[in-house]
Amino acid sequence: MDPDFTADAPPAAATSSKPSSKPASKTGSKAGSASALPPLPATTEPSDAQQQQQSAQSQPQPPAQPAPASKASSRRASNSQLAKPASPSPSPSPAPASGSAQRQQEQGQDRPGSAGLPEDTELALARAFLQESSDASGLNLYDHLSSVILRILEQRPKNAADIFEQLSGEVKRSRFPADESNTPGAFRQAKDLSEAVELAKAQIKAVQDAGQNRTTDGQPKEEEGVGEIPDMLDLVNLFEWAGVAPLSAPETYILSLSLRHLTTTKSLKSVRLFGKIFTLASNPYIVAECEPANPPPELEPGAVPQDDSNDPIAGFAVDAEIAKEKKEREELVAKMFEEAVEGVPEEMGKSIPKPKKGGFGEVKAERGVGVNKYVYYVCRFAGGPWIRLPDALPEKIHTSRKVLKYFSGDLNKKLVTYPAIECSEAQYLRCQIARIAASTVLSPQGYYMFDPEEEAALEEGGQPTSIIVNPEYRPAPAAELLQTSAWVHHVPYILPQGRVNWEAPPKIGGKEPAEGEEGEGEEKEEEEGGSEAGDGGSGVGGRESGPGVLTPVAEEAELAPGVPAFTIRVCSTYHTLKYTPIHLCSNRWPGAHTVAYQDRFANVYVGDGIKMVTDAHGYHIPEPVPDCAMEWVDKDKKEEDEQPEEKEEDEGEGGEKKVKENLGVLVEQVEPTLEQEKALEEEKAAKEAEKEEAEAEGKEDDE
Amino acid sequence: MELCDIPTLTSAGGFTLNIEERAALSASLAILRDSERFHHVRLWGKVLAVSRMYLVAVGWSDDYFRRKYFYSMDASTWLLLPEVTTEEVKATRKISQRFTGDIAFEYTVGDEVASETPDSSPKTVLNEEKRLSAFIRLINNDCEIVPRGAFYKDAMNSVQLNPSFVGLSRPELPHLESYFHFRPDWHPNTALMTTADRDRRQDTIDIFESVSSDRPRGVWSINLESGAQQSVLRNLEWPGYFFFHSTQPSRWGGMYVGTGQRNINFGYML
Repeated sequence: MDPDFTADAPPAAATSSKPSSKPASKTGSKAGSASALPPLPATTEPSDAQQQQQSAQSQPQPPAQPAPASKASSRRASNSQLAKPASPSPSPSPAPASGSAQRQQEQGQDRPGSAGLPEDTELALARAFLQESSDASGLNLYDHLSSVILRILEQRPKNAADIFEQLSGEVKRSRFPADESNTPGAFRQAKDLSEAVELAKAQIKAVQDAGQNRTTDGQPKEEEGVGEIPDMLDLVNLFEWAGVAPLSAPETYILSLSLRHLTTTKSLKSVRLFGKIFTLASNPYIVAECEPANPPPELEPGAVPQDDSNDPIAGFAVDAEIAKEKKEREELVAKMFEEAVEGVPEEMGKSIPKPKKGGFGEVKAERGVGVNKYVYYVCRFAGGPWIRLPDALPEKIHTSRKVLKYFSGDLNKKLVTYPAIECSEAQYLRCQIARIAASTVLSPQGYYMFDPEEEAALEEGGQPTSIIVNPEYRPAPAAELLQTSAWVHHVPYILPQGRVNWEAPPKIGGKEPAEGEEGEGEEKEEEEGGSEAGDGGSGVGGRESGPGVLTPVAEEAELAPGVPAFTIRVCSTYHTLKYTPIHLCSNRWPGAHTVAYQDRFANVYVGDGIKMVTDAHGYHIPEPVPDCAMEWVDKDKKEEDEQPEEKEEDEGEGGEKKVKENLGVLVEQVEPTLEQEKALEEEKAAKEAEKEEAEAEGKEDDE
Repeated sequence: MELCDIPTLTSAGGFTLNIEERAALSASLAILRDSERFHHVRLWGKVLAVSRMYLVAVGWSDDYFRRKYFYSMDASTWLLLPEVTTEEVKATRKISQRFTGDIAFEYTVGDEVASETPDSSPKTVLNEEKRLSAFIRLINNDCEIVPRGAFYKDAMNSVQLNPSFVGLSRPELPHLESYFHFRPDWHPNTALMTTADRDRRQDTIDIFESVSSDRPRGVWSINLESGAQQSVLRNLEWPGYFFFHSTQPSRWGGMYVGTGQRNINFGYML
C-alpha cells in the first residue's frame, strides 16, 4: 500500500470510528448482493473481483497490512493522546512523535491493552479487517459471525460451543435460498413439492370418487354393482393384534374407498386385501385379490394374456416383447430346418429331428379357474391407480419355484435369473402371489365345505375341487382354534406343472424330453414338504397329484426339526382367551399371517414375497447347470464315419482327431469307456496281425 | 425407537405393536429405567422365535455406547442379557437356524469344515440367551444407523445428541451418504478422501462411517414413502432391520423385527 494513503488516514480515523466502518460495511453488503446474483461466467469473474478490490481501495479505510498499520497507529496514538489527555491508559505516554516504528511496536507488546492506541481505534481497525469481503464467496467474517451469534442467542442451543461449526455452516447455507430459478438446488426443491402434492391429489381423488355414490343431500345411494368388500378398518385392528400393519389407519381408509371404486369400474364380484410386498427401490406393491364377475374365456398355450375388454392395462410390454422374440426364434429355427431339409433325399430327411414348438411340456394356462380363479390388482400407494397383473402361466410358476429374487419395484422390468424365467416382474409377482396364496391362505375347519353337487365326482374317485361356504358353520371356540388341525387350506395346491387341475403336457415328436420333467420330483417335495403322497411326476405323462383342498395344516411337514409349517399363538398374554385373537404365522413364507377372533378371520401377507430357504445352513443352492445337449449326429452317417476311423487307427490316439479334421465334420462323441477301449485295442491288434499275415502271404506269393 | 412413533411411522415397515404391548411397554420400560438408573430406555426390537417372541429393550445413561440390553417375553418383566465375548459373537454369525423360543436351548457351533475331521477345533456351545445377546451386538454393528447430523462430537470427544438437528433435507434424503453406522471409534482415512469429500466433511458431525461404503453394494434398500417425506431403509443381509427418517415431523428411529436369521443368499436376489 502506498505510504501517502496511510499518512492521510489518521485524521479521518481519529474523528470517529463510524466513517471507516460504514463504507466497509457497504462493500460487504455490496459483495454479498453480488454473490446472490446469478453466477457469472468464469471469464467475467476476475474483473468482478478487481472491481471489488478497487472499490475497497477507494474507500477511506486503513489497509490491513501489518507493518504500515502499526506505523500509522503509532502516529495516531500520539495524536489522540495529545488531543485527549484523559486517556484510559494508566501509563505515561511515550515520547511524542517517535521516529522508529519498531520501538513503537515493542512498546505495544510490552503493554497490551494500552498499546499506545485508544480502544475504539483498535477496534475500528480490527473490525475493518473482519469486514473485508472474501474474494471467493463475497462474504465477510464480521457479518457472518454476527449472524451466527445472533442465531445462537435467538435459538439458545445447548452446548453451542461444540456445534459451532455446524451452526456456522447452517448460517452460510441459509444465505443462499433457492429463490432464483438458476440457483443450485432450485429444481430439486420444486420436485419435492410436486411429489407430495401428487400423492395428495391422487388420495383426494380416491376419496371424492367414493363420494359420487351419494345423492345431492348427502345420503348414501342404493349401491348397485358394488362388489363384496370386507370391513377393512375392522381387519386392520385384527392385524394389529398380530403385530402386522399392512398400512396405517388413514391409508387403509383411503384404500378401502379406492377398492370400492375398483369393484364398480371393473365389475368385480368380491375383493380382498391380499397384502403388501416390499420392493428394493420403490414403493411397495399393495395387492388386491379380486373375483371377477364374468370369468374370461380360455387362452391358447404360450399366448400372453391380452387385455380384457373391461381392463385395458393388463399385459406388460416386456412380456409381449419376450413372446415376440420367442416366436421369431422359433420361426428362424423352422426356416433353417426347411433350408437344411431342402434337397436332402426323403429317407434321410426323415431322420433329421424337427424343431420343437412351444418349449418343453408347455401346458395351457388356466383361465378363470384354478391358479387364475382370482385376478390381482396392484397399486403403489393407498389411493393410487390400480394395475391389473397378468394371469399366471404354468411354465412361469414352475420356474419361479426355483428362483430366489427380490422385487425391484418396476413391474415392466425383464427379470434376470437362473434358471431363466424369461418374463416381466409383473408375471413373476403374479406367480409368487399364486404360490403364497396356495400355501398360506387358511380358514377354520368347517367354514368351507365341498360343493354337494360335486359329490358325484368324488364317488368316481376324482378329487373334489369346488368348495362353498358352509351355511351351518358355527365359529369354533378359541381353545379349539389353537390346534393346527383346526385350520385348513382353502386355496388349492398348485401342482409342479404350474396348474391346479392336472393336464397332460402336449407330446413333442416321438420322444419325450427328459430335462423338462427331471426337476419336478424334488421341487414338489420342497414346495409343500413331504406332505403329499403323490408320485412326484416321475413317470413321463404320469398324473401329478398333491394334497386336496381343505387339507388340515397339521398334515404339513416341518421345515426343519422343531420348526412347524405354522406357528399358532394367542395375541394377548394377559387377557382371557375369549377376548384374545388367535394368530397363525407361516414359517415357510415369512410374512404370511392369519388372524382369527370370534366369528371373524382374515389372511394377509406383508413381506418380501420370498420363501424361506430350508437348507440346513441357510444356503439357496440353484439347480445344477444341465448337461450340454449332445450334438445330433445322423445315425447312418455316423456308421460311415466310423469306417475310415478304424482304418487309420494305427496312428494311436492322435488318429481319432485326425479323422475328424479330415472329414471336416464336427462329431460330438462320448468318451469311450475302459472296456470299449480294450475291445478296440484287441481289435486293432487282431487287424495288425491280419495285415502282417496278408503282407507275409503277399511276400510269399511274390517269391 | 421411541414408543410414540410405533403405530404411525412404522407401518411403512409392515409391523406394529398391539395395544397390549404398547400399554405394557410404556409402563414397564419406565419402571426399568427407574430401577436400573438409566437416563434413557428404548425398545430395541422384537425377535420372532418359533414358539414365542422376545422383546428387547436397551438402556443407557451418559455414554451412548455403554448400553445394557434386556429381554422380555411378556412385555412386562425384563431380564438382563448376559455379556458376550467376541468369539461368541463370531460363533453366532454362523448359526443359521431360528430362535427356538426356549431360552435355555443350546446351540453347538463348530467350524463347518473342521467338524468333518475327528480332531476338530473345540466347538462353541451357546445357549439361546447368549445367542440373543450376541445377536444384538451383530445387528448393532451391521445395521444400527442414524441420520447424518443427529449426533455430534463435543470438545471432550464424546458423542452427544444434536439438539439443533432438524432432519435431513429433501436432496439428502434418498442418498445412503446421509446415513451413518452408529458405531464408536471411527477414524476416517483422510488420505483416501477427495477434495470434494474434504469440502463436504464437517468434523463435528461426520463422526461415523457412512453406510454407502458398505459392501456388497445393494445391502441397503432405500425407499421414499408418503410423498417423499419419509425415507425407509431396510438391510437385506439381516432382513427385519427397519429404519425410518421422516422429515415432517422430524423423527427417526430404527428397530429390528424379524426371525434373527441372516440372509446369506441376498447376493443372488438383487
